[in-house]
Amino acid sequence: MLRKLFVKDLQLNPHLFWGVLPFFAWIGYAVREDGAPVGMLTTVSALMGAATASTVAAREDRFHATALLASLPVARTTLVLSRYALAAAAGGAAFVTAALLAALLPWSPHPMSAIFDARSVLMAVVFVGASTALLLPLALRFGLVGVVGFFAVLQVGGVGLFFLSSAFGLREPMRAVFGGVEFLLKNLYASLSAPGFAVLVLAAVAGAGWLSYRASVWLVARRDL
Amino acid sequence: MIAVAPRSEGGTMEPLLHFRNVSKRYPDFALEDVSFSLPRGYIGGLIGPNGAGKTTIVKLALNLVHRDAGRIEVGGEDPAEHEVAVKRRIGFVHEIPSYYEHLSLAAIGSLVGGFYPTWDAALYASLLREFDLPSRQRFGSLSRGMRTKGALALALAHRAELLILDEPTAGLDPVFRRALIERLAGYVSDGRSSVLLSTHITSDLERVADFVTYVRAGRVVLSAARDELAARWATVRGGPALLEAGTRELLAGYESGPHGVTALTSDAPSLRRRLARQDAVIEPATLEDIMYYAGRSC
Repeated sequence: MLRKLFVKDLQLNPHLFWGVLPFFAWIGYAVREDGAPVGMLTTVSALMGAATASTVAAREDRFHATALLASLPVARTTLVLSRYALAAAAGGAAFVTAALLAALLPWSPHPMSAIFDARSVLMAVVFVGASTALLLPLALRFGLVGVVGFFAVLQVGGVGLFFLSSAFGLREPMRAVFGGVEFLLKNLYASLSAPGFAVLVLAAVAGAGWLSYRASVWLVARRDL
Repeated sequence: MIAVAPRSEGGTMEPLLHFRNVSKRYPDFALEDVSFSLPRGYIGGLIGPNGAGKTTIVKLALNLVHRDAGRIEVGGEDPAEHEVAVKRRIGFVHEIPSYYEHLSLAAIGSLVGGFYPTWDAALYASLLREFDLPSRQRFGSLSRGMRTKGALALALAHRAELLILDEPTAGLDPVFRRALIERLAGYVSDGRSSVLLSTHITSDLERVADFVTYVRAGRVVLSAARDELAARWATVRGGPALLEAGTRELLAGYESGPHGVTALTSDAPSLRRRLARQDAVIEPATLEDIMYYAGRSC
């Protein structure tokens, strides 16, 4: 049944394949330079794939067919599981596509070892896991409102952070905010070379994914259509 | 609730759909203590004015909404506990059929059909032809009536045991409406399948329903076999004497005006005996009469 739902979502969203072509054209262009951050490009690709699947493909409300889907002989838990599987698969496919572009394009100078670096793969898993865990419960339960609400909260949070950092006398508050995020990600990337830490991070991602899935099942199962 | 024993002759009386004391509460509406049964091989009509709770009952059977109390069984299984098995048994036509607007009926058929082990692609194709539906046209570009026909083809093509149709005849032309009603009669003739037809167009049910459940303001006013309704329910027109003690108790509702009293009774034989010597006209009640007069007293 999971496979049928998966195929259904792929059939319903062919435009997503074409929609991401410009992004991958840019990736193909970006990998031409020796100093291009190929690990970051593959990770961002994975994030984009998972986030697109979570915010667009997972939203049955786009088709006004939520009741139809719920009337099919599929358990609501299976419906939810199929969305998580789709998001993970889309993230994985986007990662592999970007990696293959970097590996196979004749003008790409990057060695295989740099492209399929274990830490980049782990970062991609973290990004895919975190974005899916955050976005899917909102998208599945609240549809477009949930997705827009999520990004609105992010924006409001960003503005709040800006004012807070201004209040504490920081001269360039935005730089401080983004610098903080950059510092966090760089440290995470660096620390992933330690096997113990990597296992801990993977366990945290798996835990967050499981909690998110349970939350989605709870939200979707109790919903009246 | 006014309950009349269902007829016992003809076909199995094993209930395919069974509601027992089902309640569902919303902030602004409540369905209270709903009970009725639909045996295999019969057509059941769910009637009531707009907003009475018919669609909620239909959705409860499909577990699209969750009940607060009571018991629901489809083929002996609870839709909440055996969601997949129950939904395989049911073919559902929604009041406003909403499918993937950018897909054609052919594409929707292949997509939906994959979920049903009993899906009959040849039957689906033949139903599309029979209903004069363009299989390659986008669903979103179809008229309301064509959408309903498409939804009906989808529901019929997986050979559902229980066909649930929520206001299916709204938007259909009279010719197809009649053809649909006849098709439904044929559908249940195998003695295994049943149809629950929710509608406020009572003339559709007059032709075809074996059982009728009347819902008003979230409560079942009556649930009875159509034969029993025909035998026991009647309208009576007469003078103010109809409202006198002894007669009034036999009335299920009435309306009085300058031209006399028109009333409804659920005990036509007794009323006939009582009014034998009075100037009153007693006629079999239509479903519309029942909907209009039941519980009315003005």
